[in-house]
Amino acid sequence: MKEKVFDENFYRKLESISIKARMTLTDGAAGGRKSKAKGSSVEFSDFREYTPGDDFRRIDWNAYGRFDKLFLRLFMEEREALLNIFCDCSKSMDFGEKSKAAMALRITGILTYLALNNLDRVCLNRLQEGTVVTSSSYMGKSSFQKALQFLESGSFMGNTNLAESIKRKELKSRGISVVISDFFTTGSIDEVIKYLAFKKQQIILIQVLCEDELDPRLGGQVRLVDSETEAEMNLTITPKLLKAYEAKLRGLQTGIKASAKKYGGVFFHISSSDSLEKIVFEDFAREGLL
Amino acid sequence: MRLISPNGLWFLTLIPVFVLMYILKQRYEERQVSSLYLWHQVIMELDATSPFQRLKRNLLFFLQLLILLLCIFALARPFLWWKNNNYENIVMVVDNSGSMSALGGSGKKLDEARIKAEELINSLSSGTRMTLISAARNVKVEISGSTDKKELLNSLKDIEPTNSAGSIEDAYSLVKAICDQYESCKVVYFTDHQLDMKDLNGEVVELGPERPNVSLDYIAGTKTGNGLKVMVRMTNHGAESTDAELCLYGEEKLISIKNEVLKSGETKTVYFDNVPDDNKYIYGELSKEDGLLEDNRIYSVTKQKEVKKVLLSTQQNIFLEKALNTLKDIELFKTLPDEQINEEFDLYIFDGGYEGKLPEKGNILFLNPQQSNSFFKVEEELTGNRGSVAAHAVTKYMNNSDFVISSFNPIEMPYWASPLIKIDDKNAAFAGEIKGQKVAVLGFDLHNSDFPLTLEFPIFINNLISYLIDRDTMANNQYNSGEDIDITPLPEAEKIFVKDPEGKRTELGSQYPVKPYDKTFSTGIYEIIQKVGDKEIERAIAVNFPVSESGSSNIDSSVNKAEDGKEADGVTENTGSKPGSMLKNSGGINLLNILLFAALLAIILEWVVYTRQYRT
Repeated sequence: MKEKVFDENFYRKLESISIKARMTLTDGAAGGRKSKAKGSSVEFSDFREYTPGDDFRRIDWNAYGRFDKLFLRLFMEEREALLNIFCDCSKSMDFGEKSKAAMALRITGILTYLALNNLDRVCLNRLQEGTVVTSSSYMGKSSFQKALQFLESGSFMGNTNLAESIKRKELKSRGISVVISDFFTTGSIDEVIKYLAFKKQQIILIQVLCEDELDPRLGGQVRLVDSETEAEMNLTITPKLLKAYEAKLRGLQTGIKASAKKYGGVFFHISSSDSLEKIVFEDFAREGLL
Repeated sequence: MRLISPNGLWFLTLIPVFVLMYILKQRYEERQVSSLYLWHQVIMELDATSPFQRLKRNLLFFLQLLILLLCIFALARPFLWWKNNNYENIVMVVDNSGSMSALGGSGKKLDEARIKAEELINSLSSGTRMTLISAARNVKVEISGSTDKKELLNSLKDIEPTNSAGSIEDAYSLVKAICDQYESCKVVYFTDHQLDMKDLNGEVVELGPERPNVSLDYIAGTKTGNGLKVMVRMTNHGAESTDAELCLYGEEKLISIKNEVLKSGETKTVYFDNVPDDNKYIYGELSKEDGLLEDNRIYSVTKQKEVKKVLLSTQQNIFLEKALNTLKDIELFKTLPDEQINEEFDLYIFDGGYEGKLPEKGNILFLNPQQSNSFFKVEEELTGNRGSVAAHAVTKYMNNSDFVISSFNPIEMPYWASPLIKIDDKNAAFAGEIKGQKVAVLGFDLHNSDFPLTLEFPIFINNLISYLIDRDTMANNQYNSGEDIDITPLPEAEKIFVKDPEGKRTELGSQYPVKPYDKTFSTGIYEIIQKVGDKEIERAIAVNFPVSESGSSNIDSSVNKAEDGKEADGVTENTGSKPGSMLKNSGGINLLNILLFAALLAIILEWVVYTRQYRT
């Protein structure tokens, strides 16, 4: 990677972002937050009468002594959320004047930081060539540097098959899955969404595109070369062609958005040339991530 | 359609080269994109929706190919036949008479005619045989039956305005003769005259509208006690009344100015009194410019060379003396028949007998000679009868004369003379010229006739003396431009020159008879210079614009003529060109300009397509 992804500038921004923003992922799923579900924890919540079948280990014997009735102590369950971040590490991501890969990594970094700050568990996954490279799960702020090291250690190579890669990931418990990609993938994105929904994941899809993809500055006779496959395509660029491209891109985005929505997920796209503040405070906030 | 230069089609070989270049040119700019994922989908969709997409992508190629084809086709100069494709021969008659110098629609009518003729020539197909005729006072075939357009255009350019009078109808017989030798032939007249085409097949190209014009028609000076009395006649040929400022100049000095108002069609005579008579020539000029500039000046020669000396040798002849006294411009000397003549005279008149030696120089008039001499033989006296006048310059205006001669001496007429008066087939009077000496003889005594009592006698004497001494009244010094100036050289002249108004001298042969001077195209004062020894004898001649060319009058008259002609033969449908009409039946259309224009449009279109397609 040419530019250093996590530079001083990034940390400074991260600092200011983390002060202003907290993750408000839906339904108290994030760790460090009180959950409605009651469970075993240290924090007392309420009493209720014993009914047969209850775990009799939770009977408050002191209350029985006082009232001669069996009561159960109810505690707040402190549920830690598991944030799975899938980062597309295909060659196509490492593209653009302001690299999509750098942006993807930075967003991953921010989300990781915010999640760890929230005492959630974070698991990072690099998707490449139909495989997935999963990190160990990180807990606590202290593991943030480790997470960054994991992110920086990988390279952007090969092509993408999102569906195939993500399906290789074992998702044991419910959690939040964030997929960061350009979604220029051979496999079906619907399949990805369905798989994640099936695994009780809350789905967040973030499409990272560079300016050249959002508004291609092409003209005349061009030979387009695919950065992943080296495939070539000769084109005479006409305004009509450019319009068709734009329409196609919109179609792709609305398609993904609609599928995600069907399973309660969100989809949005960001440009690799946007500022981090803009992405965090506008795009994330708008989509209810913060 | 025909190709004028089919060799241009060789350039079609460029097309494969062009296509090859296009194929080789198909170089793509290589651009890396993150993924072709979307592009594949776009292309699949576009190919599905528009089958012409492939063609459209090559629109520029086709446009460029079209431009190339148009240019090559233009080089081959295709020519589209129009109506008169049957005519392989065309005769163009260009009027270059004086009236064509008038301003028409956009310039001089002659220039307009040239432009229109040029258009016609250019519109003709290459094989057409073209004949070009210029018609002014003389009809001249400039080029006959040529297929070379360049040659024709050049000689069209060389047709000069002549300022001469002339009717284009005079060209008819020539044109007819030319047309008759071809199977199909079309005649095109370029003229401002309304003319009758008679049985010719063709049309008249009318030129320009008539512009208002005031012309000076006539100028004459008469000697009075206080110099000259000058009369100038002018006519307004325009449709509206106009004012005219008439200036009279003596040589180059302004003498007088008069302002006149002329109604449409009005002719006015203006008199100038007390004009100094010491000018060689005078001229009148209209200061206001009008449709025809050439007729705004009119020249007249006033003063000629010195007075002629005439010697009358007679006992007494009151009739003759009275008649001679009416001639103001001669100096008359008298002598008796028996006196010796020592001086030289321009004219000797011997009345009755004369014993002395006949003069070798100077002209002689014998009245009632008594004996034969070296010039003629006198016969026996006969009883006279009614005299009859023979046709001669001297007997002009004497057609009605009626006189009787009681007795006369018939004279055997020499070969060089021609008769003036005859009595019963015998010559009673004759005149002629031998070796530069003019000799006239009256074979009877005036006292034996009632001839001196008739009205015609002073005319006869006037004419006779004028004939004998070249008085200016007889020798014309007023010509119209385009006319030939007849020059009677002095017997002793060694060289003869003519100096035109521009000052150019032309030498004429001095041998008798002198060829007339015919280059009187510009108006003004011409000088005929005869060199006698060291002396140069000059004679001025005024050349003016012909009145008949000045304006609408000639058109009106020819309209009438044309109408008369129509009535006469009734089948001249092919005349009717309206004024200002264009050439109706041009030979065809040369597609060169159209093709070049189309090529230009295609280039513009290509540019538009290019900027639209490749705008980034």
